[in-house]
Amino acid sequence: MEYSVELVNVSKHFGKIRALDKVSLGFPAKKITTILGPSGSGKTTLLKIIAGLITPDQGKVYILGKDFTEIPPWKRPISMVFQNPALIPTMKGRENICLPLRKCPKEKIRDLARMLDIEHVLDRYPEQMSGGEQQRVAIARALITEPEILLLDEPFAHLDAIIKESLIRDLTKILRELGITVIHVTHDQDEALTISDYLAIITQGRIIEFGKTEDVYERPRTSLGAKFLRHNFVVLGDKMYRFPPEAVRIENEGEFSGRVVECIKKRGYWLLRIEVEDGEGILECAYYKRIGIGERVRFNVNKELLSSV
Amino acid sequence: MDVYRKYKDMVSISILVIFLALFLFFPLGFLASKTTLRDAYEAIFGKYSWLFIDALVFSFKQAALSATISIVIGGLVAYSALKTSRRLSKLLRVISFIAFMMPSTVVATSFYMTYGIRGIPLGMGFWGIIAAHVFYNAPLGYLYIHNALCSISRDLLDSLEFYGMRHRTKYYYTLLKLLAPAIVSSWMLAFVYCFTSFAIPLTLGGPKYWTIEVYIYYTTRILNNYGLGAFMALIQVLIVAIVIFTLKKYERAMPPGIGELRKDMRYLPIPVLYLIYELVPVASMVFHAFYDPVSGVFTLKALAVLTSFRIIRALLNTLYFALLATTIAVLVGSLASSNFISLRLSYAPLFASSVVLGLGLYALYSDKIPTWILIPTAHALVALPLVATNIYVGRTRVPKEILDVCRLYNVRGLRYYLDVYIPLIFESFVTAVMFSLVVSIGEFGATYMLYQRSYETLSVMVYRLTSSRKFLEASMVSLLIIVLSSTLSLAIIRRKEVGGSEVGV
Repeated sequence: MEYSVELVNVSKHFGKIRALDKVSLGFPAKKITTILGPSGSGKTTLLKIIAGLITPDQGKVYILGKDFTEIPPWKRPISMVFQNPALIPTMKGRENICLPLRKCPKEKIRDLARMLDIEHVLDRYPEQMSGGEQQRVAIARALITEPEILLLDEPFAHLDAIIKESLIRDLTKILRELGITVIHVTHDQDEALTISDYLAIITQGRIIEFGKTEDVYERPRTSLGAKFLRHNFVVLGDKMYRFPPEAVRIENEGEFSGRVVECIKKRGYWLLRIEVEDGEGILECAYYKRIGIGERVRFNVNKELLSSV
Repeated sequence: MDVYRKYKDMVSISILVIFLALFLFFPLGFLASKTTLRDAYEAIFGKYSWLFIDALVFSFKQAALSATISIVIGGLVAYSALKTSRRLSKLLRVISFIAFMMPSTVVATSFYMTYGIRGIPLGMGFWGIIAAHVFYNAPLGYLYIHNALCSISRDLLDSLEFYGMRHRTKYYYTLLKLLAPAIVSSWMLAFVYCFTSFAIPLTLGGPKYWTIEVYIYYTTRILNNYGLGAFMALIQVLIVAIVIFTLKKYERAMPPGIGELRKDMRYLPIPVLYLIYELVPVASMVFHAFYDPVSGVFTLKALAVLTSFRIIRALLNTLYFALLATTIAVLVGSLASSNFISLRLSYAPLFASSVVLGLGLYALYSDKIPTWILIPTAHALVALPLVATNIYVGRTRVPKEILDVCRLYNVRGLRYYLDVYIPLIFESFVTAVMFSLVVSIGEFGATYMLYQRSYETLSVMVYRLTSSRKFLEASMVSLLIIVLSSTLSLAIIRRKEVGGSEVGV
């Protein structure tokens, strides 16, 4: 596999705190890779090391095959979108987009603005834009340099659900069309699964899972990864297994039985929490209709997605 | 990049240290070297030790009483105003800020003119000093406690009202606990201001009520006993240092907020009375500029003073000193704001009162440096903590992500400063300039220690006119200073409202 960015044995400490511990990881070229992890796991540090905003204590950063460890950020073929849009408040949208360039071609701004649907805010100051518009301008600023690699540091974290959803949809489409390598960090599992081709899970400064998104999600190698992906951990028969909620199918002739303890309405489905009767524990799964609390259900578990603990 | 930054920080700190060493530490050291054990013995056990003890006790007594009354009033008014109307609390914030920035000679004169000449105790003697100090420091308490009340989240206040209102004592106790850092900080700050107050006890106290500041002034400038004055100055620096170090422990950053309390119009009289208390002395200056209390008639005679050579000279001196002091304060303050250590260093002038500062500069440099440089330097030192803090807050408010973006996209050098950095810190920079101007225009203590007749400022002129009982002229000049000082204060508070910054007060 061809990698755009490769980290080899990268470590970083902030005083006594170990932010990254000997991380070695390759980011596939022209693909979207998400680094998923809880707060304080080191994901932003990792991204800033790739950007050159933080120098690692140890290890190497290779970008497009060359060692960029000691190269300053502005000499890297990289753009970055931050959690906070970080627009200059004294500059209009157009000027903010042009910040990375000395001279800014009008057509390029127009094309980008059309692509990101921000033509109407080009002559507005950041305070006159909504949160979503500000983030779109920040994305336009990142894309105007036509970077080989784009880093996204939780860019949707501050947006409300509807704006977030539309921005993720638009951005994913644009990034796939542009065919650039994207490294995206988030703590939001749904966002990670929606946007990425590849998924890495980081906890306490270590990468514990990496692979294609479906593979990592359906069959994580470690129990820690499975826990973070909110897999079910239940005893079936006399053994404990872990499996994603998608592995559970409610069927009249199901092999196992349980009692519904909770039934929560979600958009497009019902989330059931079932207390297992042929074993121990509570599992979660999706179902197309409501089931009353206390009702008995039978279910099967897809053996392919089942891992023993 | 890091090495460059370290180098830059070291240069900034070095220049700041040299400036402070030359104009603060060496003069204070020189004062210390002037005093001997004999002076200390003389002050404490000598023939006139009662003067020293009296001044010390009186300074403590009046400072503690003034600070306590001020903070109680300020706190009550802040709470009542928020209970009454947001508009009223905003108006009081503006009035309080203007009052707080008013030159001390003007306040002393206005209290004397309003109450003193009519024989009302609020305008002379002990209660005159207390009343004038309360005029200054109740606004300080108001600003601190109002900000603290505003920084308490709406949800917290709602839940406090919802659950706590059932037991009123519990409610007020919890509220007081939340406000405790602001109450303690403002009390200590008010104590320091009153303890080192000079113009007010000098004008309203007479020979009976000497504070340490007045004592230092008399022993050094009138009696020429530098040893005794220097000993007193050292004692004062020590006491102020203890209070300021304690104050630092209670300091809390307060996030800006809306501060909404459940409305109750029964609280309205409290802010209204406060408003009257703060406005009457100012309004009285307008009245007394056209009313001669000696002959008891209205007259336009005082207008002539505005065209006299003396006032034009004083105005030009004041503006010249203010501009030069601001240039120095902003240059040094910009260096001081480059990092936290140098910012803390820039607070050093707070330990010395303006009289002690002026005395030190006078003792060491009066025959080496001309007065027209010494006075603005003293003003710059007095303004430095405010200027440095404002610029520092402006600098730290630039989001780190914006700096990262500039590094990432190679926005450096002149382009970085012109397009990004300077526009971002411009507001706080202008606020710092205005603070420095208003402090310099009203400065009295250091100026009075250093000035000669040809370098008279408006502040000094007001004091001299009042003490020679030229009330009409004193009121007219006071009015001029009030206009200058209020315009600048209004501009500052407006900028602070736009920028949301609460520093420097």
